[in-house]
Amino acid sequence: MAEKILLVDDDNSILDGYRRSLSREFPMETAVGGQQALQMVAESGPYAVVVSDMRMPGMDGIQLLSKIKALSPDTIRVMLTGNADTDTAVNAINEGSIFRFLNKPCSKEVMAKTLTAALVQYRLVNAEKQLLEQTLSGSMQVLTEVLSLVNPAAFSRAERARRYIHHIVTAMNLGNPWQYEVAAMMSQLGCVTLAPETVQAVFNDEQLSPTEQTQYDSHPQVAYDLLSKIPRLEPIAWMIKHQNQPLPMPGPGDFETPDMRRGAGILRLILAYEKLIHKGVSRNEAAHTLALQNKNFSPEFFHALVELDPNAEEGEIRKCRIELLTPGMIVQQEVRTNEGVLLISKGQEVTPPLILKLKNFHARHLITADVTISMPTTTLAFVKGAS
Amino acid sequence: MSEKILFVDDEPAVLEGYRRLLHKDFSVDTALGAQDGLAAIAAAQEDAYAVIVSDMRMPEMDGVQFLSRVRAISADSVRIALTGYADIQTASNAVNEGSIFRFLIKPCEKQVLARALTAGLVQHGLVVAEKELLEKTLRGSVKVLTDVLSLVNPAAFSRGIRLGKYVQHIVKKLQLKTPWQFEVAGMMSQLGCVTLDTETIEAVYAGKKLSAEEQARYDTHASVAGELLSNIPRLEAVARMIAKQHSAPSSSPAGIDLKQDPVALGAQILKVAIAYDQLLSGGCSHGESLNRLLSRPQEFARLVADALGDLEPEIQGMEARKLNLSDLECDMVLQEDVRTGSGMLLVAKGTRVSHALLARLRNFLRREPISRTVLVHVPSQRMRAEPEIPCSANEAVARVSLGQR
Repeated sequence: MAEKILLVDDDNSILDGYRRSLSREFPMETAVGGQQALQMVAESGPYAVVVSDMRMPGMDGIQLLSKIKALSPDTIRVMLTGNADTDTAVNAINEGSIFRFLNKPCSKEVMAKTLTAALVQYRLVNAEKQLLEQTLSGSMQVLTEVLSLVNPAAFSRAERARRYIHHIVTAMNLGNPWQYEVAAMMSQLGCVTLAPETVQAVFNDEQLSPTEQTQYDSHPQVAYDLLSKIPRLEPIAWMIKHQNQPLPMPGPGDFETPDMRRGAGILRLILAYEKLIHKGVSRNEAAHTLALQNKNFSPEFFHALVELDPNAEEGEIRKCRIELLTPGMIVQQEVRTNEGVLLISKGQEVTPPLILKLKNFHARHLITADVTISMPTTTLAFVKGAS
Repeated sequence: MSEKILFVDDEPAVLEGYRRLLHKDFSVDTALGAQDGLAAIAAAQEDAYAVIVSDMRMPEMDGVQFLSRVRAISADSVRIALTGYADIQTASNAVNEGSIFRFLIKPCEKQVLARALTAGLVQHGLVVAEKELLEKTLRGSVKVLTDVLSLVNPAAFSRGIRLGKYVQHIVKKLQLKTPWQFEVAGMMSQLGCVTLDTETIEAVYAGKKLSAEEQARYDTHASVAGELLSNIPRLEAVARMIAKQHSAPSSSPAGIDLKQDPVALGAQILKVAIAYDQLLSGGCSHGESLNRLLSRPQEFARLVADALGDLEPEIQGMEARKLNLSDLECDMVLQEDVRTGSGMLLVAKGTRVSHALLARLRNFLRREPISRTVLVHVPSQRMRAEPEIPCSANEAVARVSLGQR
């Protein structure tokens, strides 16, 4: 997502001049006059920065920028003015309606410096939202994709759970959806302490020995210990800790909020759902089984769960040559090396690193040339947390 | 979060006026003149002022000079100037140069002043929140996940942990802005190795010479990781540093100072850190490795290599000992690889023991008793008692877990 800048002047040649000198450094668009500017803001906004000339026929710079403030309050507004009317400038800046005043003619250097400062300010104003929803979520997604390639048995669950949760929280229209997705992505981190045989047994749904069961049961606590000290992730750590157990009754003085309780519940049910699907239970049946077992849980959740298109995951199942794989496909078989090492588990989403990994292993003659995949027809598998 | 405001003026009566006017709504300190102001800022240390308001005309050091000093020593403080009508142009230039946030014209009504202070506090809140999100939330999350990766596959990913540590040291030494970018780049630089087959990874880990074909395949890992991260907002620079980790030139092509180009500098830092790590794991001592880097200035920037000079080996002040695997404790540093019976690398040489690693080892040992002794470095009591130094990735894991106990 590039942060765009809009330059407004009634003189096309001035716009051309700025475009020539600055468009290499800044993603820049131009509008001739206020009307066109407003139209562009409405149609292709939001812009991070709008720079407007003060004197324009029809609508002057002040009018334009105050309209833009109403349309798109986070946009940073800069004014270019020929006659330096200092009082106007001082007041507009101090009232916060305009970020900077520039005197015409304005050199390329001053303009570039101002645009940089304006972009910094824009990022600052939008930091929280963008950092949590895009930067943090996006980084976690890349890292969990990598983890699921390194150890599919333990970590591919997390990636699948994220896809389901993305759909659910969108359908339920919950606030701060990123936190539920990040919780799903990080929910299996504690499995890093388990021996591969234990992970494998869980993955194959085999009976665990009592010792193994104890070890396995402690994995949410391990993840909690890893995450709970990171600022802003405390609620997520709490959800992860309670992923396998029904919640304690709420009491006075509890640290957790209703949001966190709901998040923990969603995570627990989605992981149970993922487990049923992995066993081969149909989506519809899995959703109904869980609804019956959890009658007190939010009906909206089960509504959303049932709506997960039963055919979405299946699509058409077919063989595909490795070099023809494309991101968004779902792998419908286990891919193992000649020696039996699990490379990809069934149900993993095809990602660019997954394709490369398969190509490399194939080049070394460690796996066959085809993989069984499906191409989901709905958007479910395509959605990325960051988008 | 600090909400403190500092007023600086050379007239005691004016300061007293501000205090009376504002103390009900704001937490106000005052300083008589620029020198006192700088002293107050220095004394505040961690509990920095959120907003600093200075008069423009003061003897010795004027407001513009004072506020640009403030910018250097207390960068997150929001700066406001109070100015007489005659100085408007100066103040207005200072706004455009970014050294001040707002300027107010004297005499200034209470309402106008209060509004500007509130806007300043909001601005400060934004700056602090952004910093916390990047330096703590994002960096902390990336650290946990890369730590987990290195536990799962030490051959491929333990290098990332070590690189993170070297980069942290270099960045601190060079006093670079936005250190999180470089550190995150270090930690994530080896992610592309996930696409490589085990044999290639083991060969690289063991420092073996790769065939031309293998080398070509291996070299793609940088661009793979760059590609993976390239669509994440705010990580554009990180992605580019990582993509260029093998090819970064030691000087900027246009002859500009490397420090002016964060991406080129970041890539060069990665390149130096990787070469240093390769030399160390090949058996070179710290000094030897450093000399080799410094002897190839066309490849490795002296500026960056020099910054590694005083990196203390992690085992500084530790005692070497042979211990049974089951007797390992947190913060010990392994001096040799630990493998399972089937030859899988369980812990890489040079790893600092964390709680998560201990738990993992315990679970492995229960299934497959690996009865052997390993060479480790054990922290002496003195080391443990010392206040904590900015720590290695694994140590952070250990500390996080410790906090829970």
